[in-house]
Amino acid sequence: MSTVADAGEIRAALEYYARQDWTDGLPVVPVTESYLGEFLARTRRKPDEVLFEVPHLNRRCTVRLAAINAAMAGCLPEYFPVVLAAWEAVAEEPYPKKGIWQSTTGTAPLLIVNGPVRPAIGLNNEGNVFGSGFRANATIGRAIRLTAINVFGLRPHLLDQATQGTLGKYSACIAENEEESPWEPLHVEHGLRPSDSAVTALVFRSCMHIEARHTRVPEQLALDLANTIRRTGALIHETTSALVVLGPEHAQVFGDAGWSKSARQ
Amino acid sequence: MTGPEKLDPTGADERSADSTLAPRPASLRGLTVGLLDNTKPNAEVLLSEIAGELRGRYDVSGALMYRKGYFGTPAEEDMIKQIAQECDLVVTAVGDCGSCSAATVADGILLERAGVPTVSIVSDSFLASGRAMPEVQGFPGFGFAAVRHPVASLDAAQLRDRARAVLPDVLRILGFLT
Repeated sequence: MSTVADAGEIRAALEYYARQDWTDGLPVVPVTESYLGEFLARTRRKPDEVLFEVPHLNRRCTVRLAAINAAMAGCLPEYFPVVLAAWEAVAEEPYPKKGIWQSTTGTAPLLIVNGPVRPAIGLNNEGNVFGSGFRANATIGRAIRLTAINVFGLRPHLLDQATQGTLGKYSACIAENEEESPWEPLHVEHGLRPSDSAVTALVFRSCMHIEARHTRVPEQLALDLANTIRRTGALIHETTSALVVLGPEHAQVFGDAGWSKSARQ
Repeated sequence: MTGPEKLDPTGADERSADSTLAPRPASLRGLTVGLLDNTKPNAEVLLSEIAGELRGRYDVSGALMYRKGYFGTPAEEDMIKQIAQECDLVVTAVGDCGSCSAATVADGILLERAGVPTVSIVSDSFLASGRAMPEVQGFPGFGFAAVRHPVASLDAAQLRDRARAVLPDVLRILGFLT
């Protein structure tokens, strides 16, 4: 049986973070200089290197700040390279630097992880893909949220003016089930090798389950998907994208019929 | 607390905290007002109505309209410089969304730092984000004005009412007791 040296001291540390408003509402892991060192040891990057900057908020996320927030989120040090790649992906996107995280639209960053890093750190890519229960998924996504709150000052009701937001604002990190897909993985489609690991970042508003057990006809299934996407509202237009996350069974319906990803699009 | 020190996870404010307002004019007579349109619907009409009031009642001599590139972020540096060169005071509108409310307040701060008295106008649904921006910009206490939400869906007469209603706040921020 394990024992807790001083439960009162642990509670006091958690309450300290809550009082500082350095949380998303859930308890965070206390981070000291020595624990931070374990994260920084996982990268060759300098602690003061800037990963992502929002000039109009007068704030920048450095490697050091990304590490502190990742540790607070509950990441293990070996997850940190994925968090760093996630920040690189976020920085490539047009909307986060243009203030979308402050917007009434209430979006969240969604991360998609590919490659051998998935089994290496225990990222779930099978059932319950958007669900709870997997430390790597839960804490890597949360690392981005805590950084948005702490580094960029994007607190709800203040600089984050989301009218409703989305549950994905706590954490949204999924991994592709490359092994059961009829197609090449997302990162390979974009020019990387299967042996590379990669993170793709998107801005997402909400997640909708598409119920379609009635057919194995690819045309019908494609219509079901398209009808659902069309229903999501007036802001779906030619420059808005919808991410379709297929379960292996549905993917196989298209795969067996010889449809490529682009044919489906 | 005992034990090792817990690290601060927040982003440091690296800009010099210049929180000095630009000098206020003694009178508005003969001055040029810059109108910075943030591209939100009805911003231009609201600003024109305010300029009309300033001209008609306070003898402001002219009004120059500027339109920034994107509502969610502050105006480009060159535009801030140009406005500061060409205008004696500025009114900017309208911060009626999450990102643009904060950006409209940021524009006001940038223009004050460039030496021009500026009134940023948000809609009153977004007072909180407007107030949060001066904190991250290192300009706590920066004052701005609010019109009643909404703005985008109003007609011309309603916009005139909004302009008249906000005028006392515009004058107060420019340094005049009303």
